[in-house]
Amino acid sequence: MRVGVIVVLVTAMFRAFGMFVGVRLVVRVSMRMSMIVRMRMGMRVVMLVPWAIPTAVSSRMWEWMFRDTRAGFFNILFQDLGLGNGQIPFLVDKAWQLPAMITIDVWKTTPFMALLLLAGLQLISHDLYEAADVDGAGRLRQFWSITLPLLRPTIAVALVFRTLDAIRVFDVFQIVLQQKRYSMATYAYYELIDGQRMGYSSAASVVIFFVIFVFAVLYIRMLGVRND
Amino acid sequence: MTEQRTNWIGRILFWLVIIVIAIYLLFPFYWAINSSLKSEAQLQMTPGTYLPRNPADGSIDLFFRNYTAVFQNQRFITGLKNSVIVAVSTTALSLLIGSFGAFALGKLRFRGKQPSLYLILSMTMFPQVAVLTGLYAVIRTLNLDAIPSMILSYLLFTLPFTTWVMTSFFEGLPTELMQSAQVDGATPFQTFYKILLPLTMPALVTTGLLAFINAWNEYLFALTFTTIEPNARTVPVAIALFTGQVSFQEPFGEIMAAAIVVTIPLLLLVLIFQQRIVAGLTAGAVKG
Repeated sequence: MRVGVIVVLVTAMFRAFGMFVGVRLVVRVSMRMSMIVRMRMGMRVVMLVPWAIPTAVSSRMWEWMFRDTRAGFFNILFQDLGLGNGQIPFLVDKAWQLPAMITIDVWKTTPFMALLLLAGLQLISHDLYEAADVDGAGRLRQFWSITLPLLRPTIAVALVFRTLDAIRVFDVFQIVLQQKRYSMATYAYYELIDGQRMGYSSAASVVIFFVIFVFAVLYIRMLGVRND
Repeated sequence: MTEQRTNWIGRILFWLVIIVIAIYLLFPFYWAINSSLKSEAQLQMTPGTYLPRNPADGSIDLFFRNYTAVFQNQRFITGLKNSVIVAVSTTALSLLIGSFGAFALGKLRFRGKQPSLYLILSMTMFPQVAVLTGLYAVIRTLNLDAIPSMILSYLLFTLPFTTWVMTSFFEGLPTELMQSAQVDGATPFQTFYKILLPLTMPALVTTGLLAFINAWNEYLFALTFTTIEPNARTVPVAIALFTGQVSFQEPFGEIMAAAIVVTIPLLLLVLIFQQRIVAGLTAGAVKG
């Protein structure tokens, strides 16, 4: 039971960070992206790469990059930057596990968020910005007073998608950390398959479902999105 | 003058940001290619090199045996076959059922249409984990083989999405088309099959593509349902559980080669259909 609670907390932290980083990054990037049309195509392909690679495959790629010797990219990088001794056990050290997972998850899901927000940005009429220009509003002001309010429904949808995805995260945790550290979903999985405790695992699944449900409702309330 | 200069600086910063992001997104893929072209000795070099280099003299030295090893790995080949069967069947089934459903929901009037639409929409966000245990129990009780159970369970997430996107597409088609077909004496099914369906081709391609990619990449159900049936493993599971033919250590060179082999077809799909994929991905979300 205690493990269960810890697992919920771990996933919550994971979710909060992953989401926060994802959304922040994305608003900026897609703002910029809507400005230039020509390179959009190339960039779009690049952005779809992390999305298109199976999570199982990308998890193994990252697992290799997080290796605990200087054969792993991050240990090379950290040592080049003068951090660590080139032997940081990213996936074993409790303090490093979550940052590593967040890095992978942000990499994997930010592009999708950016594409969602980009689609939202493209719905905002250009006239509004021209009018703001005439009225002498600066870029920052335009962003606060036009872009952000009008993008709110899209941000809400993106947040909902992202949160629900992050709460039920499974593939990355199962492949990279196995049983070193659980997410809610991997916990339910190991209880089912390794533990053969079907009832207990079902209970865990139901808890996950309700957590997701509560978050979805909360978000939709909070951001004032109504069904029309 | 000053304004022009800030503009110029802004532009450089902008491109810098874009380049940094592009590197960030592509680097893991590059590192995998780099590692897949290294031999075991080259992989153990510390520090690891950004290009495959000869441990002795540091010259560039590509090693292709990982790729031949991957294609001789029976488990990987079986995995590819299974993945093709599962992904193609899932896509075909969800397009078939989805377009029937979408036609009804988009063009016909019947009681309970609105609730069904909401039900379908909420199903697109339904967490797979929540039904994992239940499905596992059902499959064990029915004694279903792993491959059909994967196909059936994948419909859980491909079908609602397909139906949802197709429905809005059908709604957009002019009702006059249906009416004139009716006047000409076509049955509703003929109207659907001969007149409306060909017009929905673009939506079929988009949703089919996304359904295929989702089914191809699925891991949780595939892993769980093939626990007792290793021969039915799909590619993601095969890669996650990849072991070499001989060595005791995890053969990361081969794993990376397998990863590249699996990723290339998906990248080609993305390259060819990027516009459609983006349209499909954002279809449900933005109009919301």
